[in-house]
Amino acid sequence: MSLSDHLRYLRAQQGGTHPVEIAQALGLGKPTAVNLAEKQYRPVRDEELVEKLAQYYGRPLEELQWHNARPRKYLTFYIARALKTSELVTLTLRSGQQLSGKAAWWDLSSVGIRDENGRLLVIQRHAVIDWPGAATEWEDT
Amino acid sequence: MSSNLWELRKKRGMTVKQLAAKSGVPAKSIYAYEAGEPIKIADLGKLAKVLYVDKTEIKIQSDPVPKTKPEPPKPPAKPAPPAKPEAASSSTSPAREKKLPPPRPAAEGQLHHLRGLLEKLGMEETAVAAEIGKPVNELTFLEARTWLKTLDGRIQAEKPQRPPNTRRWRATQPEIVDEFEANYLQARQEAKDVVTFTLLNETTFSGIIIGFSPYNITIQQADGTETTIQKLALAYYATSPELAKEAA
Repeated sequence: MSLSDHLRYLRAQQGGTHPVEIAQALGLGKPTAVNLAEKQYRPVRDEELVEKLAQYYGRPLEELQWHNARPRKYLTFYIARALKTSELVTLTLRSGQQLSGKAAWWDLSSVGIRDENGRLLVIQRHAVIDWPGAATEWEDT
Repeated sequence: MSSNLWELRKKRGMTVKQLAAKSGVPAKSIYAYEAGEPIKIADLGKLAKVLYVDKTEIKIQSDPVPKTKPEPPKPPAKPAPPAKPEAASSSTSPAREKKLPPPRPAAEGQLHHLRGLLEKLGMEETAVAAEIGKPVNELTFLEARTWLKTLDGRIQAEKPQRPPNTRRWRATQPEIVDEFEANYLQARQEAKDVVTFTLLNETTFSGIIIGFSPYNITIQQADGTETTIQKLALAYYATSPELAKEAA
């Protein structure tokens, strides 16, 4: 799961606090950085912001950094490659459950994989927490 | 004794703009005052201060500025050009022949691009040289430009055309397509398939889809209950295994 998705998840868990309120709590003048951190597909480069967000949500900084190393774009790369090579994909969900199958398609919010019974599983991107080589195989260009 | 505004200004060696800038009186007003318009009392003090004179030394109504500029002398009449002898109009005259600069040679980038295009077309450089009429290296800038266009046109013509009513193959970026999931949900809704939804907390809901948006999906469960599932709380969903087996 990317840091963006994780931040949205944490905010939803907290009851859907408005980004403006979060920005104010972090001592930021505008909510732009908070909004961007929740939306961007690539890693959040502002380490100070990540640290502040970790403090705000009361989570360990390592947890946010772990998610930051697995941005949405890298999941796209993984699925796109699997579509080309027909290799089996394994996605680990937030619950710890692992789902495997052949990639059928991917889009903005979900990934379609066909399991061994031929059943199409539509997995929400934000539910995917990890995948093989998630943080090591991809270079952010 | 009072003097005209323009006289005092010129005495100080100032232009109207400079006087305007220093006094704060708009240049437009100064031009008007110098042309004979009565000076406003408020402006009179400002102008007097800048011109280092007493208010009483400036004429409230200036006399018009005398035209001192002499009329420019008329340019001397151009001598009539000598009658051209008929032979002079001929382009064969060596005296009037223009020396053209040598043509600019093709740029290195042009040649590189040209060779790239030839490679794409699978053509040998020697074969093309015969078509062009000279070696590729000896092309001029303009010739290279023309041949680049020609070869590019050939490549475009050879490209297989995408069948009509088909979508362009999308690249990895940008991730703006959300049609796959929408199409899948639409198909399940139309077929009235029973779909099982698993939430992030592993709770499951089964039912037929009765509506969906990019943010939520509404289902009708077997007992008739309508439930709207927020996609943010959703982990994955699929049709029941029985349906998959039937489909297989």
